[in-house]
Amino acid sequence: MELDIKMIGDVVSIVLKGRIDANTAPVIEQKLLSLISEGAQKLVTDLSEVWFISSAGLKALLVALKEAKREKGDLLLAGVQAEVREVLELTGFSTIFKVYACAEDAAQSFSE
Amino acid sequence: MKKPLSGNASSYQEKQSSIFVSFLLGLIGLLMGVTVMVLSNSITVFSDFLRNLSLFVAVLVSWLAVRRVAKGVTPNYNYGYGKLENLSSLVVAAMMVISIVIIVYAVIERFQDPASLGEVGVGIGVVFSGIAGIVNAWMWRRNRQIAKRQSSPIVESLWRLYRMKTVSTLCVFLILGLSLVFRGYSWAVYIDPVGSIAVLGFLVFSVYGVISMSVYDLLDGTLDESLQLVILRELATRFEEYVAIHGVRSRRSGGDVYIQILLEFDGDQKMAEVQKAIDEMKFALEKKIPGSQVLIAPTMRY
Repeated sequence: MELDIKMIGDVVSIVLKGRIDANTAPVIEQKLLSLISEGAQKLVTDLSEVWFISSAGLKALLVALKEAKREKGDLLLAGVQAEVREVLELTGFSTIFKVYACAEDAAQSFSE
Repeated sequence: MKKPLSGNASSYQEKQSSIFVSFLLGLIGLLMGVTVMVLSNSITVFSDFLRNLSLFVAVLVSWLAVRRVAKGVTPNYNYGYGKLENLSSLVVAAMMVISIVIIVYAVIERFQDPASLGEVGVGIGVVFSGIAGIVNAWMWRRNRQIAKRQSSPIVESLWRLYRMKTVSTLCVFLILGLSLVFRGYSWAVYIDPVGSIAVLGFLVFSVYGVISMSVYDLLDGTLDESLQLVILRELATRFEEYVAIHGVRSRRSGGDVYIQILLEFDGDQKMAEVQKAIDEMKFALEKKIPGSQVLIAPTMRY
């Protein structure tokens, strides 16, 4: 699994590549939490190159979303693939996360 | 003073009853097996006898384990009795492995030195295996239904064993039938050892299933992915009721499932409101995950 950080204006985009499973989820969770604790309020998780997400990965996203909301920010999802979208819908995550077609669209939504 | 496990008493009684019936059937099957084995000189019947012997000992151990659990608990092992079930499942697996080794040795020997079968014994074997096949199919269905209602490694291993028994008994029925029909041909002496290899295949398959499940439970494996998703779905549904998630842990012990969720709530909420949210989530999860005990602890960021 690869994790890259990109800035789209004042929005932090976390680009994930590969599988998000029990081994990789803690790394992602820690990274997201550290970004939030450092003051990042506008976050986008780019999942356009993620084709598998396990329950551990979902939990990492949920923990980070809660933390972002507590800090008056938000964590958006972008580029969600069909396989991952199915899991998000199955678990009800599609109702608590705002999902956008791409990271740029998600970043743009913060200024609307 | 020992107290009965009131919450699970009826399920343990149902398990005990099922295991006791298996015990009696196993005893009858063994007696029939010895008779046919001696009269027929069939290696397939010998393999089937060893498999039945494994099952009989397994059922005996399972019955003793469940009786021990149902009898009562002492304060010394509040969480440990569930593992008795896992241990007895491992005994099943150990018996099967020993049977496999013996059968492999016997089959090799029979291929090297083929022997003709006793016709009377084979005839009796065809009748006995036909009856046993029907009884095994009935036991398979019965234990499968109990396993659907209860989460128990013992009942789980029992229905899998009876599924294997049903198919392998059918196999024995066919092998003995073919041996009888083609007894006039010289190559017919190889039908029997080839058939015993099929019985061996069923044993290997069962050993893998029983060992993998018991070891997973004994090592306190977390819940499988489908149940983890149930927990997450509940957390998503009640997203607005808590402020942060500080941990989700789960483990199995025998047929029991333990789930611990650490949640942070709004500091301005009254304890009664927090408790109401906790209770609702706890009961919802325990309803959705059979055999689960959910503990939701309010915590602060640390």
